[in-house]
Amino acid sequence: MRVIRGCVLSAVFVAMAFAQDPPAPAGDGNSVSIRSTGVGDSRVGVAVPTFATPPGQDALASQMTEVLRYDLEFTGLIRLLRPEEFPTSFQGLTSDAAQLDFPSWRNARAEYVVHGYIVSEGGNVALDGRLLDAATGQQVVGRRYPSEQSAWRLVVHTFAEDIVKYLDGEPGIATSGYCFSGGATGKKEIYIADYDGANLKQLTQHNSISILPTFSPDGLKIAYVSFKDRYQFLYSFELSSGKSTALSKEVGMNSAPAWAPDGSRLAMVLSKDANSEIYLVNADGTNKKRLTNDGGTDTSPCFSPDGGNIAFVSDRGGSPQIYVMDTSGGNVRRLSLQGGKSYDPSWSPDGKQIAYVVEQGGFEIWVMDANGSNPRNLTASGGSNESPSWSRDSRNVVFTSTREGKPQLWTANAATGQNRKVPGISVAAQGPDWGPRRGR
Amino acid sequence: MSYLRNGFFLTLCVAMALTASTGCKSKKNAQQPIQPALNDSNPNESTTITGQPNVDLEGLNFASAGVRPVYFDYDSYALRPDALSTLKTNAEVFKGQLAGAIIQVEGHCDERGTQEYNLALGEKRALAARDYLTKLGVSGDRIVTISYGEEAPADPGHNESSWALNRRCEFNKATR
Repeated sequence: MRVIRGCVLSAVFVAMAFAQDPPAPAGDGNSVSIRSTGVGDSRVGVAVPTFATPPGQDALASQMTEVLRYDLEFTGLIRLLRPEEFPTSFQGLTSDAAQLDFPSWRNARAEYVVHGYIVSEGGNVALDGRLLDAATGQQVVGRRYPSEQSAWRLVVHTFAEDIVKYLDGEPGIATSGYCFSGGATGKKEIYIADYDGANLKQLTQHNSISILPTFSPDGLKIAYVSFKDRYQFLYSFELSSGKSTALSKEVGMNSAPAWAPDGSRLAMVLSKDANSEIYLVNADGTNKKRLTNDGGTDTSPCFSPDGGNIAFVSDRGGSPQIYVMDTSGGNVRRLSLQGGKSYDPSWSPDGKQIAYVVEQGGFEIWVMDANGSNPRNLTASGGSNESPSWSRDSRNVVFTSTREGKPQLWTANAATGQNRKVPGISVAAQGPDWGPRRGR
Repeated sequence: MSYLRNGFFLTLCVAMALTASTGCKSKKNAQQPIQPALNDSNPNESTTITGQPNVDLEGLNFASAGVRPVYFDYDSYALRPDALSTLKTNAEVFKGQLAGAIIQVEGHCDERGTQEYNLALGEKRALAARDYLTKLGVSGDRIVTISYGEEAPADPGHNESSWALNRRCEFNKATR
């Protein structure tokens, strides 16, 4: 059974279910797609009790359970049961999922129960992860996730994606991460972190200004701008080797790298022809082909997910706005029309929306449909919110915000508008790019 | 043209020039670059140091030769009247006392605006200054641009008086 995707649709179904079919006790066998806990909350009720372990491994079990709870709650599709909502008869998980008393979980309004059992041995850890339908007691997700101990978070994130994929049809983004520029003025390095802020890692040691990182589509490389060789050049950092190689070293500006969806080419901004123009360049840095030809400022290119179009910023109409062109530079049209100066377009992976920045006193994150219609605000922080980048499931946008002072990473859910800070990132963080999933 | 003969700076300059030269080799495009290329230093130049280096002391510091930064309005790369006046003075120095120098025009922005857009805005400021200097008779072959966007403020403050100082172009000596 798959829960129907989309809040609005779900809410309609829930309302219909309540109108025609008064709350039969959940779990009497005739299950419907959505057994909501009430009007206005169409999320699926899931209980995630602390994973079971052999004696002495409770700390790891608690940590792993917390990570799974964060992952499931982050999706916005799932209502986690609070521990005080658990059945009073529940005494904690045992290694045996068959011992779960499903009627009591149904009474607690759990539609699903997660069962996790962890065995940690030597340097390894194995999670036996299950999702059980409280209505039927049937196991709907079940898998053993073995790992080196140091990678236990990725194990939990992978389990989370399996759960979300069952419930939603799409796996979510729990195994993804960000790259970004971190550090103080004049000393910025390229960093990566998991999407939940864990595993923060500094990649570069350039002792310079390194900014605007962006993952290659396969997640194996990061293109970025650095002044490490005194001039402003573009580089590609290979994550497996830790090596940086030059992508573009033209005189003047080498900026704003953006990968084509197939990874074969990049759009970038150069000033070798004495203006800020967008070029299309092979991934090895060869064959620079100029796409824009306008006296104003053209920058911030961003591919559509089908690779056929490039959104970008231009002030050709008098103020910076979002435009789109095809990959030969033709068929240029303006997308942002609501008035404020607009910057930093990011095309959603499903192709339907473009996130961008609107200047209106402060700088706020907005989203519009890919044809420019239906612009709507995702932030209203009063601080400066910049550099939006979509999650691969096209549900959330990561960006940098100064609403609490120093620049930090925040996410916004494009459907609900919910903003939340990415926890645990100690450095000032700018220019995030949301990378691909790493799960298996 | 005089170059620094001080060991550390020479090493640095050669390293930078070599780096720059690698990039130039791939520049055989149909489109003739309008920006001049940065080339290696004179290969005949001796690196043997005997006594004090033969340094172009005036050229060491553009500021001491009378070169001044120019300033811009918010989100603008238009040259203001005060900038035009400063650039005229700078152009005279570049044509006279610093006639041999390669000039790097550095464009900067205040912290408002997005990081990526400000790199482009800073570049536009540098290109505007370069363009005007060439109109005043300084050869475009001597002027290269770089943008630091909002990454290198002159004043660390977060108010208009700081921002006004940060929206600028600076002029520094580049290596050829």
